[in-house]
Amino acid sequence: MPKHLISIVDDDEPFREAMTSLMKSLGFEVETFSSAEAFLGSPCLGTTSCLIADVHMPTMTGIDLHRQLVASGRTIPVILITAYPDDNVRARALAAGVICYLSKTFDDDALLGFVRTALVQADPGESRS
Amino acid sequence: MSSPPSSDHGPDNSLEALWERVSQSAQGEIVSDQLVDALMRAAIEYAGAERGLLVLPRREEYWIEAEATTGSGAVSVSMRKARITAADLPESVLRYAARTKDSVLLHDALDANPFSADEYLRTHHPRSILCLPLLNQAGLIGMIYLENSLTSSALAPARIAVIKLLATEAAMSLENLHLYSDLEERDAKTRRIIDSALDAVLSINARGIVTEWNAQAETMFGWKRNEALGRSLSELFIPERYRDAHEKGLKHFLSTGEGPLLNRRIEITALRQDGSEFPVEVSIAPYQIDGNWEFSGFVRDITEKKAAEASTRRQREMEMELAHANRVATMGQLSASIAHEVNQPIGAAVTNAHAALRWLRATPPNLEEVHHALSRIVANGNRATDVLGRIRAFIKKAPPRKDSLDVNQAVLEVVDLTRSEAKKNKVAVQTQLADGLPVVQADRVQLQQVLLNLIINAIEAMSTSDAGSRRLLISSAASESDEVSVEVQDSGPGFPEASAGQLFQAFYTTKPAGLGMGLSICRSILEAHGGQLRATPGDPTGAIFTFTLPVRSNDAF
Repeated sequence: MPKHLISIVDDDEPFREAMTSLMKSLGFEVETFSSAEAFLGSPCLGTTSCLIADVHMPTMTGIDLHRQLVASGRTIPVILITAYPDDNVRARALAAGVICYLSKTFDDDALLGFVRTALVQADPGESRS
Repeated sequence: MSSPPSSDHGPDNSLEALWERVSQSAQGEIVSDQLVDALMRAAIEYAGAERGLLVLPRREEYWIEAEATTGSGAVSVSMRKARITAADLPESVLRYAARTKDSVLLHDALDANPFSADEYLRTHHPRSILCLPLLNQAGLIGMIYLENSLTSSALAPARIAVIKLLATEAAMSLENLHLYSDLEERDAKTRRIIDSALDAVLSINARGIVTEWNAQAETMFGWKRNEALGRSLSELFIPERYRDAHEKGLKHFLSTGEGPLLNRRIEITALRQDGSEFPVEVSIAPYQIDGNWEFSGFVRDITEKKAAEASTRRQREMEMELAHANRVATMGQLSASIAHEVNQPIGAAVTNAHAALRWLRATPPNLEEVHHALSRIVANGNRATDVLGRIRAFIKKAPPRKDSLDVNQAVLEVVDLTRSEAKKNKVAVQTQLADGLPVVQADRVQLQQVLLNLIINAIEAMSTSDAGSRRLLISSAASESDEVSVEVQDSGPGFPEASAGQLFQAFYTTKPAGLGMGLSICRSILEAHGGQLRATPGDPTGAIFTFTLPVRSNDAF
């Protein structure tokens, strides 16, 4: 069975590296992008099972990216992460349908839980651990 | 007219009647014109004169008070009240009588006499002349001049003594009347001055009853003079809640002679007739009349002054609030960007650590991945430190604004701002500001924030002390090393010597609701100005916070 592809969008390279390592340690395949635009223009758009996106990015924010995916009919589950959590942004993001809105100093078990939720949502027929 | 008056002239012109009138006038029962009228009629008729003048001193010279003339058998008296001219009487005769205080009697002025050269004698040709100086103990008080142009020796010498006596008596009465009217005139003048005063002027007696009330007082308080006189002052314009204090103060002064509010300007609240209250500045001075105390009061309406002060204060408060809000907003933005910049590497480090742990737990453990992850943690930790270093460098680069600052002025403004807070907490605030302090270059708002902080801290620190002993002293001084220092000294519980070092650390606080940022920010403000902020224990209790500012006009900081 092919591994699930987790795509990571963050303008901060050290964080992309850290997240790549963590996701790989959990057994996922990982692709990283330094901007929302780069992700939208890549072939991974069709193969990604879960998208982990930073909220604060210079041109297109993680929120906008999620909105655009929804608008274009894509059903990729989105996990938003941020270095500066804000309750209002969290409320709006959750209302718009993201899986979760996490601080960058997250707990890895919690993240894993959300990723699993995302994978179930992406492919309801499949159950894996 | 040559004969003395006889009984057919009626009782009214008798000597007895004249006496009666003169003595009545001495008791103030008839007015001067009636007295003069009676005197002149009696003198003319009794002496057998044809014309008579009463001459009295008025403002350093002699004036004709009245003139009596006879015509068609009747005497008429007019109140001339005019300066003497050469057409009225022989001036040389009058001058002689005035100088020698002797009567001059000329039986026939047409004969050669010492006054023959007098213009009046040469033009009017009077025959009999009598000029009587009227004297009392103090000297000359007036003169009577009588003449008869028809007959020589018309004036009966035997009666002169009696006329002189009567006239003297009458003149003394007149003098008293004049003194009285002078007094009234002076009184009226004083009244006019008082009424034209811009302040309300009033006086009360020892019982607190109003004895004077000028036009301004009428306008200011709404009570007319005749309504105010005779009423108790405290009913008129002292608000009910202060009446007790007013009456106690009055009694205290009368029994001890102490009046701490007397002879200086005080600000109080006054009441108008319509019940509205307004602020006034009052100065009250006690004085004694015949051994009884009276108090004069000058009252100024300071409603407008107060309003102006309040608006200046409000404006300053708003400026400070605005500056504070600006700083809070800046702080908010700054902390947001600091949080973002610092959280980024911290987030990466934490994520790397999670990854490293997972690589370690794998079977077999992937040590190469662990190694990479740990290396990235080190790099991210360093990145976080770099971010903080950049922020600090950025903050240091922003120089404080530099105003040419009069430290005392800045102190007084803040003291003014905190006055109500101090009052509310029953803290007595004193300032001791050195004269002639050099101007310093500093950010006014920041320095005033420091002062505000120190003063509010002090007031809060004293809230646990005895209400009677809460004292706050703010002093300024110039030190020898080109510094201006400001000291805020309170009488609160102070701080333990050991914690002196902690006072300025961020997040250190002794207040239940304190953030512990105030003193730390104060110190950094002072340091940014090239100055210092120190805390020392007070003696015997309390705390002393002292800050110093360098006196320099260059941009050394």
